[in-house]
Amino acid sequence: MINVISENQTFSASRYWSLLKRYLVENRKSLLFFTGVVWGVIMLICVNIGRFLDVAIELSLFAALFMVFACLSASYMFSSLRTKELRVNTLMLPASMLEKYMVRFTVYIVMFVPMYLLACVAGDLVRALVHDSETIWSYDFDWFLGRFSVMSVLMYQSLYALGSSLWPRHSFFKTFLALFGLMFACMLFFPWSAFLWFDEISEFGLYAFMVSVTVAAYVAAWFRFRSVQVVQRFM
Amino acid sequence: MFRIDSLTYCYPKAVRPVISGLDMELKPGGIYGLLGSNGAGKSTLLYLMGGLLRPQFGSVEFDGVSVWSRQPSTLADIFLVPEEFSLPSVRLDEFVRVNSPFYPRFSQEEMERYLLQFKLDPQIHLGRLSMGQKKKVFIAFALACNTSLLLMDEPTNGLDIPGKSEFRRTLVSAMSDERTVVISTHQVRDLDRVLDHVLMMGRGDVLINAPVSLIQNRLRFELMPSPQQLSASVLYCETVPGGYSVVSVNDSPDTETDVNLESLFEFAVSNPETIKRILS
Amino acid sequence: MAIQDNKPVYLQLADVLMDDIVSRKYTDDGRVPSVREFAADHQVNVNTVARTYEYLTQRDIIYTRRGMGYFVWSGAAARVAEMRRQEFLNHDMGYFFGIMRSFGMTPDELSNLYKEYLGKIN
Repeated sequence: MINVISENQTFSASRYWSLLKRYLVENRKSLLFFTGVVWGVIMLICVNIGRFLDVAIELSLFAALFMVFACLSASYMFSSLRTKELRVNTLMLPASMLEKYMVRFTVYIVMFVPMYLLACVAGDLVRALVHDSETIWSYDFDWFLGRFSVMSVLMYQSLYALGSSLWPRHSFFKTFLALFGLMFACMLFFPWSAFLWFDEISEFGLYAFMVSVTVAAYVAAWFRFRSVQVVQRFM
Repeated sequence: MFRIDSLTYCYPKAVRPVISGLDMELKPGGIYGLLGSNGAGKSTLLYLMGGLLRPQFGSVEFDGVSVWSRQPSTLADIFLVPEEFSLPSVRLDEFVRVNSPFYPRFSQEEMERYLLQFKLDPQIHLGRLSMGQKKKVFIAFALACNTSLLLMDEPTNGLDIPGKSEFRRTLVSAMSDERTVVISTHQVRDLDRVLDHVLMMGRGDVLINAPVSLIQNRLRFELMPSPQQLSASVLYCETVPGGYSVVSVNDSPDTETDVNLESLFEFAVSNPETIKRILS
Repeated sequence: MAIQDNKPVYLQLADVLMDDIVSRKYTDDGRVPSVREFAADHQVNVNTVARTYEYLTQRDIIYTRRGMGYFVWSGAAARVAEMRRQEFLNHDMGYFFGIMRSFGMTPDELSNLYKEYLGKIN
């Protein structure tokens, strides 16, 4: 048992660990359900459409699904704030807000990655077995594209995490609308931004931008989470 | 131990603050009844005490630390049983295993004892319980955490009559000098014999913050069959089934009556200055 | 235990404990429930029971030994009986006699009824 009183009030590893275990146990049903959906979709695709897949298409499919599911996962990051009862539960637990935030980050952002990768590997294996062909791991990857894809997923994912902190209810949908609206507004007011892509900006500049957006989104989500009240001023 | 200074809180869409300039101090040990009509701000006050709401003005401090800062050590010493709450769909022993580490003074032995008093089987699954049973389980857990401050919002709501009995019995047997319990309720009759402090709210402020023994010493509460026996020291009189409920100044402190909380409330709301003076 | 409107709760609780002493549920020098146990059993505040026990201690019904709880004084049953007698003679008797007189009950009638009652109990 941790001695909550003598531990550091801002962050304590043992308390974080207990919090993580608690979160996984109490939410196992919804987490298992989400895992099941991800694995199920990938398996379904690999088994049924597998014969039409060549490496490029399969990788693109996995990348696209990675984007979708990563954002979906992030949109559940603050699902425990969506009702008054859940908020009371979350806020009254004797742990620091930072620990509570880090647990959610761990579950929905960090733990999601191996879960998804395993699904892809397993799906690919199944495809190879069912359609009697080779697995994609025997091919070379275009690493530049891979890096860029991963970075953009991380960036969009962080925006969905921020959306989850702002709108815990129907978060994915609301965040999607917000992002769409934002991009539309950008196009409208800054029509030249559409041309501001690879050619104009250096690779470094692009990555710097993406990293900044990602970090900013998580920091903003943190501030929002930290100041949550049981009766919210806007949801 | 618990101190509130000049507290003011206004709900997001409200015009007027529900709590305004409230000062209050709680001493350790004792069962406080937080009473008042609906909308008087009882739940709001409980949420403010638990750090769940941020005051617009004023401070709420537990042992000198602001509850809004949500320090883990402060939270580990406060437990809130809300009126409506959700329990995860897991077995009770799993729930206890993952939640008790956060409350250093949690006692498994006491948990089992309270479950027994509530006539609940420790092997239950939380997802399969009725609302009343969930309440009993949560209350048992709350008591077993042995926090210095236990806040309860309408705990008897949703309990059947045997359940209310079990609740009173369990609560009284779990009390100690180190534990303070604040129970917000409008079901005064469920709890009036169990309280030893009265916190009565009205008009956004605390009208009464006094031990029951003081109220008994200063005021008399009687049921008179007819109004002819009213003396000059009568403060309040209303018609009730059976006659007249009378609140009067207690001229003979050697004899004391029990407190009629309903009449006390009616009197306090209409004469806030008088009641403050009498109970100071 | 039903709460009557007239007597304060702490006195009603005193009656309950005195009943138990008279009926020998608690014998001389035997232990009575602690303040907290008694309060929990009757679902009242411990302060109320503290007053009850103080009331009974003052009348030499129970006594306390530090750290060990409350016990029945020897001869308490007899003292309770005497208290009840006095209470009846001073308070209740006049009331009952007044009612009986109002519908004209005779002393012989009263005596017979009481004999009948005692006969049924024994």
